[in-house]
Amino acid sequence: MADQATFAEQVEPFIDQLYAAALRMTRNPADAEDLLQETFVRAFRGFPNFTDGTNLRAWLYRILTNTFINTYRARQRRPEQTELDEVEDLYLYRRLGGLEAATLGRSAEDELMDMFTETDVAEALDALPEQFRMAVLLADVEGFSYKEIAEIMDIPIGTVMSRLHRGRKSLQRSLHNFAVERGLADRDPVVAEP
Amino acid sequence: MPTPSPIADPPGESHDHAAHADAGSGCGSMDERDCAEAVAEIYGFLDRELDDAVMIQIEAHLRRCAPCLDAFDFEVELRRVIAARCTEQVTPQVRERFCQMLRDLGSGSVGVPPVPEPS
Repeated sequence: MADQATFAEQVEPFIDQLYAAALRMTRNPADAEDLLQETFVRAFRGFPNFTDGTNLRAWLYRILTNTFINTYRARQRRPEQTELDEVEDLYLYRRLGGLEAATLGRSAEDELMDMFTETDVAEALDALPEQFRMAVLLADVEGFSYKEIAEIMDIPIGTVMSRLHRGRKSLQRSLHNFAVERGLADRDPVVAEP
Repeated sequence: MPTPSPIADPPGESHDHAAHADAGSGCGSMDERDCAEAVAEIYGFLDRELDDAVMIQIEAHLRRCAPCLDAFDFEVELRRVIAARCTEQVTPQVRERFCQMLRDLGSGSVGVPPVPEPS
Protein backbone atom coordinates (compact mmCIF):
# COMPACT_ATOMS: atom_id res chain seq x y z
CA MET A 1 0.00 0.00 0.00
CA ALA A 2 1.73 3.17 -1.18
CA ASP A 3 0.91 6.62 0.09
CA GLN A 4 -0.11 9.04 -2.63
CA ALA A 5 1.69 11.81 -0.71
CA THR A 6 5.01 10.16 -1.65
CA PHE A 7 4.00 9.67 -5.29
CA ALA A 8 5.94 12.61 -6.78
CA GLU A 9 9.07 11.83 -4.80
CA GLN A 10 9.05 8.14 -5.74
CA VAL A 11 8.16 8.54 -9.42
CA GLU A 12 10.32 11.55 -10.29
CA PRO A 13 13.57 9.57 -10.74
CA PHE A 14 11.87 7.62 -13.56
CA ILE A 15 10.77 10.62 -15.65
CA ASP A 16 13.77 10.53 -17.99
CA GLN A 17 13.65 6.83 -18.81
CA LEU A 18 9.86 6.73 -19.04
CA TYR A 19 9.85 9.67 -21.45
CA ALA A 20 12.56 8.06 -23.58
CA ALA A 21 10.58 4.81 -23.60
CA ALA A 22 7.40 6.70 -24.53
CA LEU A 23 9.24 8.40 -27.36
CA ARG A 24 10.54 5.07 -28.66
CA MET A 25 7.04 3.63 -28.51
CA THR A 26 5.25 6.54 -30.21
CA ARG A 27 8.13 7.84 -32.37
CA ASN A 28 6.79 11.34 -31.94
CA PRO A 29 7.43 13.89 -29.15
CA ALA A 30 3.86 15.20 -28.95
CA ASP A 31 2.41 11.70 -28.61
CA ALA A 32 5.17 10.74 -26.18
CA GLU A 33 4.24 13.64 -23.89
CA ASP A 34 0.54 12.80 -24.08
CA LEU A 35 1.32 9.16 -23.37
CA LEU A 36 3.49 9.97 -20.37
CA GLN A 37 0.93 12.41 -19.00
CA GLU A 38 -1.82 9.80 -19.23
CA THR A 39 0.54 7.24 -17.69
CA PHE A 40 1.22 9.46 -14.68
CA VAL A 41 -2.47 10.16 -14.13
CA ARG A 42 -3.23 6.43 -14.21
CA ALA A 43 -0.21 5.66 -12.01
CA PHE A 44 -1.31 8.22 -9.43
CA ARG A 45 -4.83 6.78 -9.34
CA GLY A 46 -3.48 3.27 -8.97
CA PHE A 47 -0.73 4.18 -6.52
CA PRO A 48 -2.65 3.10 -3.41
CA ASN A 49 -2.62 -0.40 -4.95
CA PHE A 50 1.13 -0.38 -5.48
CA THR A 51 2.95 -2.27 -2.74
CA ASP A 52 5.82 -0.21 -1.36
CA GLY A 53 9.17 -1.91 -1.74
CA THR A 54 8.17 -3.89 -4.83
CA ASN A 55 9.36 -3.12 -8.34
CA LEU A 56 8.16 0.44 -8.99
CA ARG A 57 10.04 0.71 -12.28
CA ALA A 58 8.33 -2.39 -13.71
CA TRP A 59 4.99 -1.21 -12.32
CA LEU A 60 5.34 2.14 -14.10
CA TYR A 61 6.41 0.48 -17.36
CA ARG A 62 3.40 -1.78 -17.13
CA ILE A 63 1.10 1.24 -16.98
CA LEU A 64 3.05 2.98 -19.75
CA THR A 65 2.90 -0.11 -21.96
CA ASN A 66 -0.80 -0.73 -21.37
CA THR A 67 -1.66 2.91 -21.96
CA PHE A 68 0.32 2.87 -25.19
CA ILE A 69 -1.25 -0.35 -26.41
CA ASN A 70 -4.78 0.69 -25.52
CA THR A 71 -4.62 4.28 -26.70
CA TYR A 72 -1.81 5.20 -29.02
CA ARG A 73 -1.42 2.02 -30.95
CA ALA A 74 -5.07 2.23 -31.95
CA ARG A 75 -4.51 5.82 -33.01
CA GLN A 76 -1.45 4.98 -35.05
CA ARG A 77 -3.33 2.19 -36.78
CA ARG A 78 -0.38 -0.13 -36.88
CA PRO A 79 -1.40 -3.40 -38.41
CA GLU A 80 -1.80 -5.99 -35.70
CA GLN A 81 0.51 -8.72 -36.85
CA THR A 82 0.95 -11.69 -34.57
CA GLU A 83 3.32 -13.83 -36.60
CA LEU A 84 6.80 -13.27 -37.94
CA ASP A 85 8.68 -15.27 -40.54
CA GLU A 86 11.14 -17.69 -39.08
CA VAL A 87 14.64 -16.25 -39.45
CA GLU A 88 17.69 -18.46 -39.05
CA ASP A 89 19.81 -18.32 -35.89
CA LEU A 90 22.82 -15.97 -35.88
CA TYR A 91 21.43 -14.25 -38.97
CA LEU A 92 23.65 -11.17 -38.85
CA TYR A 93 26.71 -12.99 -37.54
CA ARG A 94 26.64 -15.37 -40.46
CA ARG A 95 26.64 -12.39 -42.82
CA LEU A 96 28.75 -9.77 -41.05
CA GLY A 97 30.63 -11.83 -38.48
CA GLY A 98 33.91 -11.69 -40.42
CA LEU A 99 33.99 -7.90 -40.24
CA GLU A 100 36.38 -7.32 -37.41
CA ALA A 101 38.76 -9.94 -38.71
CA ALA A 102 39.01 -8.00 -41.96
CA THR A 103 39.85 -4.73 -40.22
CA LEU A 104 42.74 -5.19 -37.87
CA GLY A 105 42.27 -3.86 -34.37
CA ARG A 106 38.61 -3.01 -34.66
CA SER A 107 35.90 -4.85 -32.80
CA ALA A 108 32.66 -5.99 -34.36
CA GLU A 109 31.06 -3.40 -32.08
CA ASP A 110 33.03 -0.57 -33.74
CA GLU A 111 32.16 -1.86 -37.19
CA LEU A 112 28.48 -2.26 -36.39
CA MET A 113 28.38 1.17 -34.76
CA ASP A 114 29.69 2.69 -38.00
CA MET A 115 27.32 0.65 -40.11
CA PHE A 116 24.05 1.30 -38.28
CA THR A 117 22.88 4.81 -37.41
CA GLU A 118 20.28 5.77 -34.85
CA THR A 119 17.76 6.04 -37.67
CA ASP A 120 18.58 2.55 -38.94
CA VAL A 121 18.04 1.01 -35.52
CA ALA A 122 14.83 2.99 -34.98
CA GLU A 123 13.49 1.95 -38.39
CA ALA A 124 14.44 -1.68 -37.90
CA LEU A 125 12.64 -1.65 -34.53
CA ASP A 126 9.65 0.10 -36.07
CA ALA A 127 9.42 -2.55 -38.75
CA LEU A 128 8.67 -5.15 -36.08
CA PRO A 129 5.05 -5.95 -35.32
CA GLU A 130 4.05 -4.17 -32.13
CA GLN A 131 4.15 -7.02 -29.64
CA PHE A 132 7.59 -8.14 -30.85
CA ARG A 133 8.88 -4.56 -30.83
CA MET A 134 7.69 -4.04 -27.26
CA ALA A 135 9.34 -7.24 -26.05
CA VAL A 136 12.66 -6.36 -27.72
CA LEU A 137 12.59 -2.79 -26.38
CA LEU A 138 11.80 -3.94 -22.84
CA ALA A 139 14.59 -6.55 -22.88
CA ASP A 140 17.37 -5.04 -24.94
CA VAL A 141 16.95 -1.32 -24.33
CA GLU A 142 15.29 -1.18 -20.90
CA GLY A 143 17.03 -4.25 -19.52
CA PHE A 144 14.03 -6.01 -17.99
CA SER A 145 14.11 -9.72 -17.16
CA TYR A 146 11.75 -12.24 -18.81
CA LYS A 147 9.69 -12.34 -15.63
CA GLU A 148 9.36 -8.56 -15.52
CA ILE A 149 8.42 -8.40 -19.20
CA ALA A 150 5.83 -11.12 -18.64
CA GLU A 151 4.29 -8.96 -15.90
CA ILE A 152 4.55 -5.71 -17.85
CA MET A 153 2.95 -7.18 -20.98
CA ASP A 154 0.70 -9.57 -19.09
CA ILE A 155 1.79 -12.60 -21.10
CA PRO A 156 3.34 -15.96 -20.10
CA ILE A 157 7.15 -16.18 -19.90
CA GLY A 158 7.16 -18.65 -22.80
CA THR A 159 5.50 -16.02 -24.95
CA VAL A 160 8.08 -13.44 -23.86
CA MET A 161 10.84 -15.80 -24.98
CA SER A 162 9.31 -16.56 -28.34
CA ARG A 163 8.61 -12.88 -29.05
CA LEU A 164 12.16 -11.98 -28.09
CA HIS A 165 13.68 -14.72 -30.23
CA ARG A 166 11.64 -13.93 -33.28
CA GLY A 167 11.78 -10.19 -32.80
CA ARG A 168 15.55 -10.10 -32.40
CA LYS A 169 16.18 -12.26 -35.43
CA SER A 170 13.76 -10.27 -37.56
CA LEU A 171 15.50 -7.08 -36.39
CA GLN A 172 18.80 -8.54 -37.56
CA ARG A 173 17.36 -9.23 -40.98
CA SER A 174 16.10 -5.63 -41.26
CA LEU A 175 19.49 -4.28 -40.25
CA HIS A 176 21.18 -6.50 -42.79
CA ASN A 177 18.85 -5.20 -45.48
CA PHE A 178 19.88 -1.63 -44.66
CA ALA A 179 23.54 -2.58 -44.94
CA VAL A 180 22.91 -4.28 -48.29
CA GLU A 181 20.93 -1.33 -49.66
CA ARG A 182 23.81 0.95 -48.80
CA GLY A 183 26.37 -1.31 -50.39
CA LEU A 184 27.99 -2.08 -47.03
CA ALA A 185 27.22 -5.77 -47.22
CA ASP A 186 26.58 -8.34 -49.90
CA ARG A 187 23.11 -9.63 -50.58
CA ASP A 188 23.31 -12.99 -48.89
CA PRO A 189 26.75 -14.35 -48.28
CA VAL A 190 27.45 -16.54 -45.31
CA VAL A 191 30.88 -15.43 -44.16
CA ALA A 192 31.10 -16.88 -40.69
CA GLU A 193 30.24 -20.17 -39.08
CA PRO A 194 28.68 -21.50 -36.88
CA MET B 1 22.96 -1.70 -19.54
CA PRO B 2 25.81 -3.37 -21.40
CA THR B 3 25.60 -7.12 -21.67
CA PRO B 4 28.86 -8.57 -20.38
CA SER B 5 31.03 -10.77 -22.52
CA PRO B 6 29.63 -14.31 -22.56
CA ILE B 7 32.50 -15.75 -20.54
CA ALA B 8 35.23 -14.27 -18.42
CA ASP B 9 38.24 -15.91 -20.04
CA PRO B 10 38.87 -16.76 -23.65
CA PRO B 11 38.92 -20.47 -24.50
CA GLY B 12 42.15 -22.24 -23.67
CA GLU B 13 42.05 -24.83 -26.37
CA SER B 14 39.95 -24.10 -29.39
CA HIS B 15 38.97 -26.21 -32.30
CA ASP B 16 38.14 -25.51 -35.88
CA HIS B 17 34.59 -25.61 -37.10
CA ALA B 18 35.76 -26.61 -40.54
CA ALA B 19 36.68 -29.89 -38.89
CA HIS B 20 33.07 -30.25 -37.80
CA ALA B 21 31.89 -29.76 -41.34
CA ASP B 22 34.36 -32.37 -42.60
CA ALA B 23 33.35 -34.84 -39.96
CA GLY B 24 29.69 -34.08 -40.26
CA SER B 25 28.51 -36.73 -42.65
CA GLY B 26 25.17 -37.23 -40.96
CA CYS B 27 26.10 -38.88 -37.70
CA GLY B 28 27.28 -35.63 -36.10
CA SER B 29 30.17 -35.42 -33.69
CA MET B 30 29.69 -34.62 -30.05
CA ASP B 31 31.02 -31.10 -30.57
CA GLU B 32 28.70 -30.45 -33.45
CA ARG B 33 25.77 -31.31 -31.27
CA ASP B 34 27.16 -29.09 -28.51
CA CYS B 35 27.45 -26.19 -30.94
CA ALA B 36 23.87 -26.61 -32.13
CA GLU B 37 22.63 -26.81 -28.54
CA ALA B 38 24.63 -23.74 -27.51
CA VAL B 39 23.39 -21.69 -30.46
CA ALA B 40 19.80 -22.76 -29.81
CA GLU B 41 20.10 -21.33 -26.28
CA ILE B 42 22.07 -18.20 -27.21
CA TYR B 43 19.41 -15.71 -26.15
CA GLY B 44 18.56 -17.47 -22.91
CA PHE B 45 22.27 -17.63 -22.14
CA LEU B 46 23.04 -14.00 -22.93
CA ASP B 47 19.91 -12.93 -21.05
CA ARG B 48 21.12 -15.03 -18.07
CA GLU B 49 17.73 -16.72 -17.95
CA LEU B 50 18.72 -20.41 -18.15
CA ASP B 51 18.98 -22.88 -15.30
CA ASP B 52 22.38 -22.77 -13.62
CA ALA B 53 23.29 -26.23 -14.91
CA VAL B 54 22.63 -25.21 -18.52
CA MET B 55 24.45 -21.90 -18.08
CA ILE B 56 27.51 -23.79 -16.83
CA GLN B 57 27.27 -26.30 -19.68
CA ILE B 58 27.16 -23.59 -22.33
CA GLU B 59 29.91 -21.60 -20.65
CA ALA B 60 32.07 -24.72 -20.67
CA HIS B 61 31.32 -25.18 -24.36
CA LEU B 62 32.28 -21.58 -25.13
CA ARG B 63 35.62 -22.09 -23.38
CA ARG B 64 36.42 -24.95 -25.72
CA CYS B 65 34.84 -23.59 -28.87
CA ALA B 66 36.29 -20.39 -30.32
CA PRO B 67 33.82 -20.19 -33.24
CA CYS B 68 30.81 -20.34 -30.91
CA LEU B 69 32.43 -17.81 -28.57
CA ASP B 70 32.98 -15.53 -31.56
CA ALA B 71 29.32 -15.84 -32.54
CA PHE B 72 28.15 -15.19 -28.98
CA ASP B 73 30.48 -12.19 -28.69
CA PHE B 74 29.08 -10.80 -31.91
CA GLU B 75 25.55 -10.98 -30.49
CA VAL B 76 26.68 -9.20 -27.34
CA GLU B 77 28.33 -6.45 -29.34
CA LEU B 78 25.32 -6.09 -31.63
CA ARG B 79 23.11 -5.77 -28.58
CA ARG B 80 25.33 -3.02 -27.19
CA VAL B 81 25.13 -1.17 -30.51
CA ILE B 82 21.33 -1.41 -30.59
CA ALA B 83 21.02 -0.11 -27.02
CA ALA B 84 23.58 2.64 -27.67
CA ARG B 85 21.65 3.76 -30.74
CA CYS B 86 18.46 4.25 -28.72
CA THR B 87 19.38 7.65 -27.31
CA GLU B 88 16.01 9.36 -26.98
CA GLN B 89 16.30 12.05 -24.33
CA VAL B 90 14.01 14.32 -22.44
CA THR B 91 14.63 18.07 -22.72
CA PRO B 92 15.04 20.04 -19.46
CA GLN B 93 11.78 21.88 -20.20
CA VAL B 94 9.80 18.67 -20.68
CA ARG B 95 11.36 17.12 -17.57
CA GLU B 96 10.44 20.18 -15.51
CA ARG B 97 6.87 20.06 -16.80
CA PHE B 98 6.51 16.44 -15.72
CA CYS B 99 8.15 17.14 -12.34
CA GLN B 100 5.58 19.85 -11.83
CA MET B 101 2.79 17.52 -12.94
CA LEU B 102 3.89 14.88 -10.41
CA ARG B 103 3.99 17.46 -7.63
CA ASP B 104 0.54 18.76 -8.62
CA LEU B 105 -0.86 15.23 -8.62
CA GLY B 106 0.71 14.53 -5.23
CA SER B 107 -0.54 17.72 -3.65
CA GLY B 108 -4.07 17.08 -4.87
CA SER B 109 -4.21 20.28 -6.92
CA VAL B 110 -5.18 18.19 -9.94
CA GLY B 111 -8.56 16.59 -9.48
CA VAL B 112 -7.63 12.94 -9.83
CA PRO B 113 -9.25 10.77 -7.18
CA PRO B 114 -7.70 7.44 -6.28
CA VAL B 115 -9.60 4.44 -7.56
CA PRO B 116 -9.76 0.95 -5.98
CA GLU B 117 -8.00 -0.87 -8.86
CA PRO B 118 -5.23 0.37 -11.17
CA SER B 119 -6.53 1.04 -14.66
